[in-house]
Amino acid sequence: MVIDSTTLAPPGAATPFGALGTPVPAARVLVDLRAGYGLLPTAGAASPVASTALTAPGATGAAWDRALRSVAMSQESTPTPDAATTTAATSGAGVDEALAVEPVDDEDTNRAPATEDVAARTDRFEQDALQYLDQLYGAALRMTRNAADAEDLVQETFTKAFAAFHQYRPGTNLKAWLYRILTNTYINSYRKKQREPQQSRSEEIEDWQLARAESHTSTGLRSAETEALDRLADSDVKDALQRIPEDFRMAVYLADVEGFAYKEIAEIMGTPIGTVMSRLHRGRAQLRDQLRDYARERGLTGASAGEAGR
Amino acid sequence: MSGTGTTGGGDVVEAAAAGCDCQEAVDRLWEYLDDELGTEETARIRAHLDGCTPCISERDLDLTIKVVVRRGCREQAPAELRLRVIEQITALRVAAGTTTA
Repeated sequence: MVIDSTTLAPPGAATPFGALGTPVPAARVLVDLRAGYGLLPTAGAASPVASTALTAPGATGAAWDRALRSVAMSQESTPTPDAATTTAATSGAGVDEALAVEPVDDEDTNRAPATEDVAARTDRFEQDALQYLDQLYGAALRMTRNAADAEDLVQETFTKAFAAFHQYRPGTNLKAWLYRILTNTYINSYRKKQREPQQSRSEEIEDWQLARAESHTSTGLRSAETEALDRLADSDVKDALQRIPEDFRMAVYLADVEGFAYKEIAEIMGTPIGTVMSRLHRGRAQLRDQLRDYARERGLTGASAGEAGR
Repeated sequence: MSGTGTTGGGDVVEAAAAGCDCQEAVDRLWEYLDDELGTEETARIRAHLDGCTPCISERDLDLTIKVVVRRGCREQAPAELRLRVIEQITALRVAAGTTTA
């Protein structure tokens, strides 16, 4: 499975291995690796790019493990620990040699830096990422609009996230990172299947502002409307959401249900912040119209006045 | 800032003068509710809202929409899905060649 590191990178952050391009001296790579190893997870072992381990963002976990073990071993066997890295620094071949070292038995790696092997990374993934399962499923339901596709989408999202978990930088927003994978996966795999009529994508801002300003008059009506909307059933709210265009729906969902900041929504949806704001404004305006219709259908609007006698 | 047309008197005019006008308040209401404004702008909007009943009812309506959407969209993933995901991760981990049991 090939994961595009650019699409899966944490929003707003370069991949942890982005700095490890070819020109970087090998010694620095290894030293950085040792220094930061407790923080930087190893690369996903499921990645197919073993031979380019140190030059590609998606290096294999096994390759990194070997490189680290070789460094650790050098330190054990050599009185001057820096010798190994200095040698490596003089030629790029040092990297390949380091990678060529076969893994040693587990017993011998006790003194290795606190390495995170695949098992540890799996545990961390299950502990940190799986807690968002319900939320991602909720978002997937809003996207796909049916449970079967939502389940598949979530499973695919977690599979991709696990394979790319080495690219996630601890301390950054894991939830946003997962949502970005979810969104990309949906767009790439599922959107085509959806039979949603493409609504007008013109996103002029003026119309909702005008509408808003004109309606800003009757306080009494507003209060009645507020009360009516507050009494709507959850199913009606979900139905109303389904009726607004997908981009609007997701912006509203990410803002109101997940509480993402505009900047995070922009990163998740891959759009400028201005577009996010426009989608939110228009989406909420349309949603309000839909909710108002549901409230009227349910007899919630004006029920106290018009139908009190029944 | 203040001092224009306070003849009508009352808190409304004063609050509006200290904050912003209805147009601005309504235009920026969503950003205000989404906590996307800086402290100064937030204070301006809040100052206006404190004294403008129509704008408060706008705010209540918008806030209700946010609350209703949030409330309505809570979902719990099926237990089978959780199992499927965990099984998939386990399979990937095994495929990755870990021998640690």
